[in-house]
Amino acid sequence: MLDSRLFHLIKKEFIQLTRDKRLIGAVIIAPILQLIIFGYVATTDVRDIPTVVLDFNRTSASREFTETFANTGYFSINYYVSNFEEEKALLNSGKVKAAINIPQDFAKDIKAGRSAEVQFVVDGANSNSASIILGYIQGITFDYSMKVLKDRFRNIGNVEDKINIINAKVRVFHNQTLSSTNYMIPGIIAMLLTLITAVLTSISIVKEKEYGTLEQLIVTPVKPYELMVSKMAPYIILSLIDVVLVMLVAVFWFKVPILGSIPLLFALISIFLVTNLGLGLYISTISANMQQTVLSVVFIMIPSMLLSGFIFPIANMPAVIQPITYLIPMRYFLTIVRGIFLKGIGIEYLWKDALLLSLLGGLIFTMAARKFRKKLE
Amino acid sequence: MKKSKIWPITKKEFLHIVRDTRTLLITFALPVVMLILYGYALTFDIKNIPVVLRDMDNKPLTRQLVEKFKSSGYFVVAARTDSFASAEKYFLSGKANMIINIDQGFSGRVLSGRTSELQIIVDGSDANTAVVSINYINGILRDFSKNIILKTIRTSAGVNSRAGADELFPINAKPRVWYNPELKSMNFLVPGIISMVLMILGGLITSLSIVGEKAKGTMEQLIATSIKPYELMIGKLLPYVLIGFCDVLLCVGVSVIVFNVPIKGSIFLLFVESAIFMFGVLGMGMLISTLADRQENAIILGAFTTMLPSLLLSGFMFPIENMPKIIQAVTYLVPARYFFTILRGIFLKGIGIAYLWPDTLMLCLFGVLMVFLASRGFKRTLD
Repeated sequence: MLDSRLFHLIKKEFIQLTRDKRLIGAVIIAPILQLIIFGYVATTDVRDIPTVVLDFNRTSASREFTETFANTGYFSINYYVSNFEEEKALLNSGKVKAAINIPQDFAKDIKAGRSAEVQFVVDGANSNSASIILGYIQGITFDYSMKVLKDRFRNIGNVEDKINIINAKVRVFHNQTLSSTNYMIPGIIAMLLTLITAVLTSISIVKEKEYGTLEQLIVTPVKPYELMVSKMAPYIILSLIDVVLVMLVAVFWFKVPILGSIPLLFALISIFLVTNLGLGLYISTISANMQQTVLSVVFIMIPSMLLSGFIFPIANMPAVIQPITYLIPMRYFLTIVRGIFLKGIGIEYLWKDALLLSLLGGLIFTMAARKFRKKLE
Repeated sequence: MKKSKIWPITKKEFLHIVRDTRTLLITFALPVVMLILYGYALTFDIKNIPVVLRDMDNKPLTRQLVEKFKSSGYFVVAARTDSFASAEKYFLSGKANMIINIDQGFSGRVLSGRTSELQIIVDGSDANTAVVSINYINGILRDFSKNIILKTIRTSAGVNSRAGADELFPINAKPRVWYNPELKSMNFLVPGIISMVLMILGGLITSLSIVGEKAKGTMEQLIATSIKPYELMIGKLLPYVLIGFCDVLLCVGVSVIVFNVPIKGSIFLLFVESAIFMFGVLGMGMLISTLADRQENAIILGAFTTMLPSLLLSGFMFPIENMPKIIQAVTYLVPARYFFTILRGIFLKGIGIAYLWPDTLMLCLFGVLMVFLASRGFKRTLD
């Protein structure tokens, strides 16, 4: 019977897989460990910015001003220095990322109703953190100024009551705490899935090629599709186990909410898995040895990870590059996973992404299967 | 004296590499593709945030405010609407990230100096974009309020009316940005790409080449000859050192010539530090090859110990100072952390060994430790 042959082939793959304890450990334990570490690491939140103060004024007013910065929680004042050279050394060594320079006449100017100019230095090496820090500086300085203004006009007619600013009353949808972990974890899940499925399938096929056992299998009456299905079956099951494990860690350890439908999530994850298996199969057909396999995976994965919107929002990319991102399966998958996790939306919003992911996945898989068959025949 | 056998081994390994054109090509194409991606495509800079506007007041003042939002370049009005329900739809379909809601009577309150609120609803699912957008909104509102307040003070309090805005406001922040004044992401990312490429090359590719020989049994043939273990090791690693240097040159060349990334420090120091880093990374590759008996294990071990930490724990993608304290402690074990700090220091800050010696020292220690452990393991596998 045909089916029993397929069954035995799949069994062979499973036996091979379970024999290698280290590989099993790597496939089960590594993703969990990685998710835990990355979950903590992957944060773009800026807090406790190490700061140095160079206070030429040394009055209660200047101290109050710098304390305002510390009290917000965004800045932590770790150093007080007395000259520019020390400040520069701290910035150069990377021990501080921001500096507050208070001029000598700070308190006098404020008291006289003149403007005091406070100079700030921000380490711009990391442009993203720097622009956030600049925003905080402007905000805190402004709030402090408003306080001073109100004090100044306390006893002058009804002016004090008229000095009000337009407040932004901000309401946040979908991720109220604005935690970047909630946003990153679905992305990390996508990345881990891609790595495990694409890498392991391509490796397992190339390995047989290198040892010459693939040729032995070809001379047997095994059909190419049977060979293909049997090679992939264990990895489909393993990656589904991984999905469940990783999801449990995300929900119970990191408290990432899954607001949408879990069956829908799994259905769409399966499509993504097939896409990645196709990718792995394709890489295996174009690679002659392990080095080529690894480099091809890295060469394909890193750009697609970077262009998928995982870390860098697609909307910020130049208009010429944005069309390229439509060719990356992870792009659709990320929209889907984030949508289901954080927004709780269903297929009525996600059908376009699901459709495109299926089309792309089907295309990649057929192309790979064809190439694989041609290689074998 | 007996002639050293390092050279023939190097030649043999080199032939292997050159014959495998695709591997060689990818080792050079990878950094270039990444540099081009980062240079042209990837940026943290957030601009043109799509906004849904619901202006129920629609007075000159609110139109002026909306104009301020648009002319800042950070926001584009994707749609105008009167109902909240339709505004929310834009969020769910991802067509807009923010709703600006101006209630009726807003301009009246502002002009009479009462507290007034502009309601902002933001899609928080991308936390970073949300934080930056809120920052922008607050900045624009502050500037707008400042002008109104100063007008109030001039008319009501009889303060010297000829004084300019900056002279009346108690404190003005004058921020300056050092090291990367235009806040270009590219300048920050080039050092990261160099360290990642070296890590992949040294840690993964070398270990695969050694484990491959082990698996095919050709390693035993080499051992049976009169070649000494250290000759075998150095001979096998030398070609990768050469490729590594070519990659460093390539990265530096492309980023300086094509993307105008500045190198403020000494190029000589850059190459010395790269050599130290490569020494350690190749040692690590060696160590992986002695620990892994099969290539697939070497790949997983290699990816887990070299690629991912150098990507995520080196400060390249996510700033170390934002990580939790325990993970910050872990980063001290990641050699790419030191190398990245060094490269960034040389590229952007133009600092020399006077500031970089602690990181350099750690890199040296790492290298010595790796080579020591690897040669011990290597000897044991050979015996």
